Amino acid sequence: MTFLQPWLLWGLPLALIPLVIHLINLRRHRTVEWGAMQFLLQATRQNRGKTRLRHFLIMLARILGVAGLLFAISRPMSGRWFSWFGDQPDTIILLLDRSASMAQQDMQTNESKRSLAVEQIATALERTGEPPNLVLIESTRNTPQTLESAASLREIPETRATDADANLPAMMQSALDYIVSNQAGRTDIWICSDTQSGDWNSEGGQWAAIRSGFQELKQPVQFHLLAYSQSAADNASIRISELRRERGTDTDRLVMDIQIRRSQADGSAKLPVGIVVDGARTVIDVEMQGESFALDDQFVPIDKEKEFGWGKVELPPDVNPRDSVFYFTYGNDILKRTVVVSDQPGSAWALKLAAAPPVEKSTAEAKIIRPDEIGSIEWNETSLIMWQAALPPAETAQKLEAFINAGGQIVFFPPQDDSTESFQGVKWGDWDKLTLGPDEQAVKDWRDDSGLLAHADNGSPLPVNRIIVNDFRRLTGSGQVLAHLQSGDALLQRIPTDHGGVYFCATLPQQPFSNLAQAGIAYFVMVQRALADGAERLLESQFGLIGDQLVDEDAPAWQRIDGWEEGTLSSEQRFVAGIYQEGDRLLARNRPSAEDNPGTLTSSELERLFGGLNYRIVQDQVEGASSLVSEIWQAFVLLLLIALIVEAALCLPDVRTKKVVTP
Amino acid sequence: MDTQHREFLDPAVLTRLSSLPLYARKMMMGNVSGRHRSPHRGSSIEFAEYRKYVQGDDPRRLDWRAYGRSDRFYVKEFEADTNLRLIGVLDTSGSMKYGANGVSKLDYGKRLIASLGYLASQQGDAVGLTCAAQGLGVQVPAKRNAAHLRNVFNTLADIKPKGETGLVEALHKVAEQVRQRALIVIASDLFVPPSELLDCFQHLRFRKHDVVVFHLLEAAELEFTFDRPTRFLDLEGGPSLLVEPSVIRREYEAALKEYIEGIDAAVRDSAVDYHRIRIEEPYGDVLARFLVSRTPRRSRR
Repeated sequence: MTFLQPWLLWGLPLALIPLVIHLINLRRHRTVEWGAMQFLLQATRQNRGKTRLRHFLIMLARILGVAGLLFAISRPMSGRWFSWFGDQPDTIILLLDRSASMAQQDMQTNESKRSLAVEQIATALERTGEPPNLVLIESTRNTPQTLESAASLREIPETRATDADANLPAMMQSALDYIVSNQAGRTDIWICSDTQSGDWNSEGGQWAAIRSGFQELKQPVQFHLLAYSQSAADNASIRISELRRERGTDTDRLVMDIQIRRSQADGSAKLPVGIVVDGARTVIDVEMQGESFALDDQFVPIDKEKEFGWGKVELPPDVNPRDSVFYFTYGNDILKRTVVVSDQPGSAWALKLAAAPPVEKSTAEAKIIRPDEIGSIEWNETSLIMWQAALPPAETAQKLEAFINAGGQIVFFPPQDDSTESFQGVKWGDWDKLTLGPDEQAVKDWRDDSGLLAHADNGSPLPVNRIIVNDFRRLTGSGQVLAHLQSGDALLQRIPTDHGGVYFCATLPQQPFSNLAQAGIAYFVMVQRALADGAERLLESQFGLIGDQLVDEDAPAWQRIDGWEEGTLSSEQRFVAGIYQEGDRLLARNRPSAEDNPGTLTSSELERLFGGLNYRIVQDQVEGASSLVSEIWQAFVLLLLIALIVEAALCLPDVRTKKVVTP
Repeated sequence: MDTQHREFLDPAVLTRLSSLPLYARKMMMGNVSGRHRSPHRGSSIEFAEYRKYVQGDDPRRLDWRAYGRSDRFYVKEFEADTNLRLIGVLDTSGSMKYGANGVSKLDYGKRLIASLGYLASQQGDAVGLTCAAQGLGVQVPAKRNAAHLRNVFNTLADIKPKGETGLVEALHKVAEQVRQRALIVIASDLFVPPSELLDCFQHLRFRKHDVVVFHLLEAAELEFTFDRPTRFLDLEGGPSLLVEPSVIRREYEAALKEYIEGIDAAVRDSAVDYHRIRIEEPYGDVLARFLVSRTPRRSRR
């Protein structure tokens, strides 16, 4: 509880005036010589019970009356958000969940959970006084941003709607890092979220570390969770699970698998599904039973001559309009491009051959370049880089890392010359010869459950045991070894990355180093798998999901041609669904699939996540939401009135009984 | 002749009361002739009864008319008139010091007993006095000469209120020591348990005394009219009490009611002549009312 005129609270000792008057009155007593002491003694003995309580209550009512008056004129503010008699913290960190699910809105007021949360917090801060430090950590960037005033929450683009998901553990970690690095004093962390299960990742292992991190802080930290856990009663979402272009003789067809999901499982619903392709709209009425519905192989004819275009599928706007539309782009078949970087282009044929087999109408293409020609690589169109040269210097390594972060794949092969550089902590060691005993295989063991050497789809193992390795180059640095040689050295090693893939192969495919090229199958599968993984990002760009690393997504040149208006802001368009164009290139952005999941955390799960921390959970809802804070002087006036009435009632003179004493 | 000024004697009051004789409600056994009936037959003009003549009776007392009607000898007997002994019992405990307008309950009691003593003495009755205070056993035996009345007045004048009440002991003592029937006039605030008073009254009644009780109370004691914190000092030497009158008024009134009901029950059971007096009332009026109430309905002379 805070006060708009707190200086008036200095007058609170005045509440003791009735008590002081009583004590003064007692001190100013008169003295009387009295004969009928027996009645006084008897009355005093009997007075220990109800009458004494009655007079205590009278005194209490008087004190409460004065205190109520003082509190009322101090204009107290309180609400569900604030604890009574809570002090203003030094720092308030606002964790704002801007995920797509927070766009659920009240159909009458069009206020979404996110906008309502922002308004509630801004209003609460304006009414109660802003703290010295107000920090915003929103869900798309997870980085602290200092705000000048609470009013700016309503204006800055970082509080607007997005179609991204949220990572609450990362936001909490960011808040913890901020407190530690800035030596913040008493801190309140206000979390505004719909507690969607996917965003909170309650089973993630990082929660334990976050909890212990906050518990170890010296300064007190109070958590306030403004939870909008109420799911929409009637919401439907739509997305495309697969999209392909089928060539025809006269026209091509755009074939798509559409998935519709709704929050209400009971009964049936008739939904008009709109399919818009290059501006032309088609509507299909869908009779839906149950929670989900799949509309497979729905096709739309497109102009055969049109190389690329865009479209969207949509449902009528409902309580969450942002999950009622899904954007996509289409184009020609994707060409899987491989670049072989070798300082000995003449001997790199085995690499190129595995990436792009010489077959007619192949969708794979490979070229060999020297390390100094790295600038010629079309990064956006390349899926795989096979690097058989000295590890790249720092400048080139940065480009390669950006390529990896964008989902690209790199397989490093050992250079025959010295290599002193390292890449992601791994360096090439010395060349060595593999000596084997009788009946020993070159490959001692390999990961056959996942990775490049996993079993085939039908469960058949790859013939890795037929690989013969004569010369190999040792690797220094940590990584996940996918195949060991008999000597214990790594033959194939994967470097853990968030996106893309980085592999080190310890030998060269051609003789005399190994028989990878001659034995063929395992080597070919390994390269093609890496190539397929690298090409997947290009496929995804048909309906790219926000959160995945997209092609040139930081480039400011993308222009919104359809989608939500927040996409016009260059700083925000990465997180806003829509169709974007740069030159003759199109990009579709959509919400992550987890945002369609209506599941929210239960109270017990929230209690578990915040176990051991000082937290309060305030459940709010978009419909009929009440302010988090409000003036409550009326309550104290009511208290004053009640106190006065009680005091008057207790002070009422007794109904005099007939006088028992007659003269 | 006693010419000394007595504060407790008002000539105007005595003059007004002198026309009202003091009667006993019960038969008295005095030594000399007086205004009061005796249990014995005497020579007054008040016919009492016929009695058969027995040997030894004075033949002059034979009723010849009765002999003529019945042919039997009857003796005609008349009531005997005698004087009474008035024993004033004055409570001199500390609580009797309480009063208002400069008049304490003790002063009031002195006036009552002195006035009644004077009136009794004037009609030839004997007057005695007993002071009831614990450890203060002043007793003046009943005699009927004027010098003795002065002695009683002197004793009254010297009495000071002090200590706890000894009323119960004093009444028992009076009941034991006064052998012949007497008029016992008690002036006290009766701040003793009603059950003990009842014992006293029944003891006095057993000894065939005519008991009159003047229960002296002050208005503040009855109505507890205090309105601000007050320290009450016990006039009988007990501990003092600092109380908020408004806090305990209800309990005080309840205790007083219980006490008054006890007193009423005690006087009802013992058939004493009880008068509850507010000392604000002029004592002359009280005595006049008292004397009138005891006057027999039919004229005796």
